[in-house]
Amino acid sequence: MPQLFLGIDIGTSSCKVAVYDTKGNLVVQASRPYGVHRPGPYMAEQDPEDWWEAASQSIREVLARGVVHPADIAGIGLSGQTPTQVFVDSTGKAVRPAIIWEDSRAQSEAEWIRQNIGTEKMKAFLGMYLPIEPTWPPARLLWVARHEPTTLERTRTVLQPKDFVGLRLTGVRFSDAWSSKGLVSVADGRISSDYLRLLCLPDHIVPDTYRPFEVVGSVRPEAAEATGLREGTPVVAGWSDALCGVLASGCFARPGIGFNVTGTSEIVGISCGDVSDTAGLVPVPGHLLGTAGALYGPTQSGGASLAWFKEGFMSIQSSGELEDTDVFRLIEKEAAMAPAGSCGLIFLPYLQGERAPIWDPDAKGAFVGITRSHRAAHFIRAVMEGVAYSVRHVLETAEHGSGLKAQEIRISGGASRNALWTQMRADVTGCPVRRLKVLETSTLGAAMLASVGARVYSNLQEATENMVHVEESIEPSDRMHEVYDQMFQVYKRLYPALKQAETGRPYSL
Amino acid sequence: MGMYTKNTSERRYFLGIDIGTYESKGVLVKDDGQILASAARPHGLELPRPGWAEHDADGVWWSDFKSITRELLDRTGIQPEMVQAVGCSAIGADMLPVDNQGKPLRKAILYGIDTRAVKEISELNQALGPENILRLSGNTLSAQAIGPKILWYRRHEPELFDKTARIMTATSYLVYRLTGRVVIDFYTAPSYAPLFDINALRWDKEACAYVLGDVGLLPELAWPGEVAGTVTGAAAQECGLVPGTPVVAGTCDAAAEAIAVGVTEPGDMMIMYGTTMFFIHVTSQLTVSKELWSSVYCEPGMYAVAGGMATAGAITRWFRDTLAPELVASEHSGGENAYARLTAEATASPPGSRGLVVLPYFSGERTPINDPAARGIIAGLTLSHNRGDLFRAILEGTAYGVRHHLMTMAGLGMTPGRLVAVGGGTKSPLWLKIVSDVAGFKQELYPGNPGASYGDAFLAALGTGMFSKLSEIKKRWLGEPEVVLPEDGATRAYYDEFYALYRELYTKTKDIAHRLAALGESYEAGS
Repeated sequence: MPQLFLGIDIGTSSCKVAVYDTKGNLVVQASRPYGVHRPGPYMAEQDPEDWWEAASQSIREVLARGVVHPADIAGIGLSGQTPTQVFVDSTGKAVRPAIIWEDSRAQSEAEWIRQNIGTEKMKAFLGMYLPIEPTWPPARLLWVARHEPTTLERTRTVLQPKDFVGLRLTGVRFSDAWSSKGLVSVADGRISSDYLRLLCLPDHIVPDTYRPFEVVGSVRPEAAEATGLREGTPVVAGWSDALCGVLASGCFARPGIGFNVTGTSEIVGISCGDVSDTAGLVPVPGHLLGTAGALYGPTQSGGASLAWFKEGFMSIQSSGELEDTDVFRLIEKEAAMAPAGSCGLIFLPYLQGERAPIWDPDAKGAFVGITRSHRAAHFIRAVMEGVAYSVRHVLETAEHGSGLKAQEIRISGGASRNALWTQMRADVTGCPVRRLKVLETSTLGAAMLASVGARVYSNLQEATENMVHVEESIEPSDRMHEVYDQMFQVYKRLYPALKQAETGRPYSL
Repeated sequence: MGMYTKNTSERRYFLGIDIGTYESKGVLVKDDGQILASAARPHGLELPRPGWAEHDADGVWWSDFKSITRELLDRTGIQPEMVQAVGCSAIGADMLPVDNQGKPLRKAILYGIDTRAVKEISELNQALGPENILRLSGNTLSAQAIGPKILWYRRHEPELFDKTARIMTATSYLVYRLTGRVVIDFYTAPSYAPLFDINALRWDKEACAYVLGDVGLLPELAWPGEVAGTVTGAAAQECGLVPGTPVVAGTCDAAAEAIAVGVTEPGDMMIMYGTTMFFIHVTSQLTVSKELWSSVYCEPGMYAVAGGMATAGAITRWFRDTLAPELVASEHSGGENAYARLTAEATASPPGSRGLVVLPYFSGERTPINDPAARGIIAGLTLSHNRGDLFRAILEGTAYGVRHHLMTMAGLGMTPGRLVAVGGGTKSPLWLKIVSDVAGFKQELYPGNPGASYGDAFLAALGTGMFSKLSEIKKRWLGEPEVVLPEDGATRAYYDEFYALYRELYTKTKDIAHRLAALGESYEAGS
């Protein structure tokens, strides 16, 4: 009986493909990068063909290593960036470039929805509270309806990036309710015609939705030829990269586990039962899956802040990515030369506005408390501390909303390899941080979904018990926590003060 | 040969020497204002404890004076007899006690960069009343004031205080070494707050009694261009001048710098782009405020309102060393000048630095907010900001500080007739342009003007009677200035908004900055 699971993650900058065994051990992986196109201000688009190209090439590479036989793959799971819109015609081709999650062109449409529909009505339609922002689906779909009516005429289905790859693999059009939130209700995966009419959208563009671990089809002959996969290998519906990350952190196993999926932005939250007060965060209803739920929020610039500072202001010469171990070691070494609290220097990491917990696309970053005795080391450390404060800020909000206190924080993602930064997150939150064995949680989460779909495990709970492992526990230091706690109290006062300074100024910061 | 000798003997030369914090400079100037030679000496600054700043009076001040004088005479071949008069200026005001032999009893406690007398400031405010002090001396007590430093000396080093015969500032000490007379000029004396009565132009008995016990410890008062005495035989031997050469009372470096560029009449204002930004605005009447410093100016009937930021060149240097160390390394190995590179990057950034505002309070701030616990802020950052944007934002931050001073002065009913820019920072056309655009003022400047030492030479010439008033320097010694014009229209309106934001940013984040200052200090003390 085949006992391996293949996870595919369609990220913003690359596609990652990895194969795991039933114990969650990584067997083999490969990835391919692709670009983001920015045809105008506030616009961000990708060519769906690039995703398929990167995915099929990466699968080929994984199989070409000779470690995994296609017949040993029991199931395929999908993960990816959301909410993005892929406009697919009746032949399975994209009618225009995909408009990806960070695109904020739909500003006046967001305003229109705020004025004419309102938060409460939207919540009733969509099954959850979603901030009405240009980056969220309803505004963007309305933008397309208003500006490109022919796009909608030619569109058969609006899919997510992972769904587009799934369509290529199986020939089936599907999505999951969570990834398509904003187009369907997360409560039942359906949507009322009234909602679609308000946004001038035709009924037929809404895809059928499935539970993330449900098998929706299998690898068809053309796809088997393109990828080297075995024809007929089952494919499950999959989930957003954020929720695959939470799943592979083991958090749906029980309430009260904090999590931090590090990356360009930070995914932070806590597993919990159903919540009544979401505190402005995103609630994942667990009862739909038979597991604990979660309350979480994404920040906007986590790793992106450090990468920005490194590229612009540090004389580290490196061609590699930030995950590059050598660059991390240099950054750690430099930052370790400054004491905790960076001698009164604070960084506010709102370099691209901020999502959770303040949801302000116009917020800006800042260094505050600068003196002439601050050196480069203080600045680097302050950037890392600022990101750690933003993590605590979201975690506190999630704790407040769920009424639970995190007993531990599961950490994953590339930045968790940075020992100093991980220790800092423990010291800033005062909570033990547990580093996972597999840090690429989006592909592992996708593989876990496949393991349930392939009936190797009977549910997500069982998959979690078997496939998620903590590698190391990092304990907070009381002494450091005391310093960081004082600084964090100042951090929380900064955004309101800076915002207030801007009020009434035509040229905002 | 005969003609040559005759002409030479008719020429008249003036020696001007200025002692700075890190460097001394001297010039030998012909009576028509032409500079024959200039010389400079770097020296150290002693920082024995945090907040303390000292100079050795003989090892630095007098030693630099002597060696620069000898170098100028040697290099030009000018006979010392032909030096008609000598003028000096120096950092100040300082606190140097000497015994009854005229020997320094300790190292000189320097001007505002020495902040040790915090307790004594509160003590004096309690004893004499802050309102009284402001009314009497024209100033609130700050690190700039010498009265509290004398009191610190009396409290902490009583055995030395008992031996003290005179207390001097740096300029006084040079004049004393040259002539044996102990004088202080009217521009510098108000920095001896609260001891100087700025309305009556004399030492105040009551305040002197509290701080000193004996008013006789203080120097005699004189105008900067007044002859204080003549070079003694002993001094002549030491420095190579001729006995009997007149020496004027001189003044502080900032005033000498202002004189050097013709800031000599009411309505004239100097902006000094140095390590800090320093301002002197000449007025026809005494103007006292809590925000700025008041003083008498360098000629009877004139007063000055002065101000100083805590940083300027200090942060451009800090930025270069902290965030662009590879440019410094490249400059040292023969590459492009680091400032030139940063300036080129900053020039590529538009006015407003694409949405950045910097509060330049990286060392707290002096005037007009007088907040030592203020802190620097870089606000408005996005992923698209680069080093050039930040460097421009820092230059703009200092320019908002300049505008803040002009607005504060305007609030006191003072609008300058002309602004003259001086100092090392004026070598940057970008910086000058930003300040003119932000402040909406034309600036004049005299490239190649050596600064304070040139003003000292003019004071020396004034002392000999060759000129009758300060303002003659404009027509007799200075050529036409270069000008930097402000841009009107959109840029102006844009900067108006950013300036408003700058002011608002401080108000709204002041408490946070104070908290960070306290936390920063406690962490440093603990580590």
